[in-house]
Amino acid sequence: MSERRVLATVWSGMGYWRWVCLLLVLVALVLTPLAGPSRAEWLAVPPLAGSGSLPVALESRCRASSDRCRWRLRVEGGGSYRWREAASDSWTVVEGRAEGSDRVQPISLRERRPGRIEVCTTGPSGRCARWNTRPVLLSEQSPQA
Amino acid sequence: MTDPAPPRLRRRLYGWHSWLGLKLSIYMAFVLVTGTFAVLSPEIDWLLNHEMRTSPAVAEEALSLGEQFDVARAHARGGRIESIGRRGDAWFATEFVVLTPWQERVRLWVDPYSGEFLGYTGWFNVQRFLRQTHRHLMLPVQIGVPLVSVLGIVLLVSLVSGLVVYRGFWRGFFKRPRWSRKPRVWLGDLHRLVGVWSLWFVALMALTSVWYLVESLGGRAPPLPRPAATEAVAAAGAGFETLRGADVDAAVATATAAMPDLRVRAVRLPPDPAEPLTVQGQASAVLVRNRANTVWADAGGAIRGSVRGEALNLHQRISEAADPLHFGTWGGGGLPGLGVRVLWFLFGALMSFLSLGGILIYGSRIAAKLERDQRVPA
Repeated sequence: MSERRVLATVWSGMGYWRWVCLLLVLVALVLTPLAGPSRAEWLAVPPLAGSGSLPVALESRCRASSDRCRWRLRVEGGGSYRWREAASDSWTVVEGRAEGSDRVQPISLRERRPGRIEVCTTGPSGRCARWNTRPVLLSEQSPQA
Repeated sequence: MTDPAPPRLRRRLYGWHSWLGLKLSIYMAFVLVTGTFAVLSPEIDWLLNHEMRTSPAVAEEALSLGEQFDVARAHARGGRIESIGRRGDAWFATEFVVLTPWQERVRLWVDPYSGEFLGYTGWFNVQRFLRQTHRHLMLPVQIGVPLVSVLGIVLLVSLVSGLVVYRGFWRGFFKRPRWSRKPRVWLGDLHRLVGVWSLWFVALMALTSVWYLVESLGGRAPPLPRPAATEAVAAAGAGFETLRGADVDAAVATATAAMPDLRVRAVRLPPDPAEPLTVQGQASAVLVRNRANTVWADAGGAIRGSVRGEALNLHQRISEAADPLHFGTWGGGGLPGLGVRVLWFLFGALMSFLSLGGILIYGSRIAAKLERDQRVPA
């Protein structure tokens, strides 16, 4: 008597209950991502190797009624500011240069949900350090073309 | 000796035993396995996250909770520290739950001996995953808890029917499985052997699960007494940043003066400094959660109220006892507590085997019968 036969017997013996059981188990597993692997990795961002700088704040100028915003990345230690415009649901790659460093850090911005932005900074190690913050509404202004 | 159960009853109960075990096996096994690992989930997180580990673990805490609070506050980055958790296990760092400015929870860890900031971990971890899947399948609690805890009734029926079906089960504690026979035979022997040794554990899990079902259907114990002022929800974030480590130490000192045998395990910090701090832990009452021993104290040190485990009524004590018994956390901290949880884990694994092994026995039995039937010419 093979194991396959035993398992097949069990499977057919369960009848429609197997689908009920599988549904309950799948519900739990499917809902897991919604329960939330934390989006708070930003707190644990290690200093980017070699750059000597760490993004500490992200500010934005948005108009609440508009889906286009201007993002500004502030780099600790008086780093340079770069302005980029992006539709709030798209990724935009920004090249930022931290002062005191000759390394260019590619930075990805995206708005994960209204009022929240995730930033991914890739250091020389290639590791993506993710962090997110709530953009500060500096002032309402019309989006730039 | 005459058999107390007539054959017809035994046949019927055997039918129930195998029907429940087979039809619900996938669901039951899922709940059992997640529950088994949930027992040791803090330890799994501890192994996965270096931020949670103290090094080296020594017996005495060098720093007060207030001193640790000041370290945590310096790293909270504008977030509000909601609570401080100090497990009884010396090898665990002190946990600070922080609510970020955008209302997201993270955990911040401080070494209680060196006062070193150890790092952050996310709110959602292995413990949360296992707790939420095991307790309510990630569904809303009102739906999920009854769906899971109804398995307590299934366990009770399986337990009673198994005992009736297994004639003379009390003689089965030292019956060795017949390993030399075919798998269906030794699996059946092992199922019965594990079953009799796990009787107490299955009964405990079944009864506590039924209690959770009762609670979820409205039989919840009345809430523990609280000072009237804490019932009002304070405006979130109103001046919480003024709270200092000295305030925490003052509240803890007040709590331990009011309840000298209190071993502080948690401090809950109010969003509004006008509200009292909640100091909780273990004292002389057995089988209660930390919340059963609570002292509310102002940041200035004035006491606002307290409750002891012994003061609770029977309904509340049953409610309090369910978690320590179900989770295996009644052993307290340190190695004895870990030993109890390891024991719970092992018996949880045995229960999972009973469920999965049971369906293999069924499958082997039916498959063998089908083979026999095929061999007999029509």
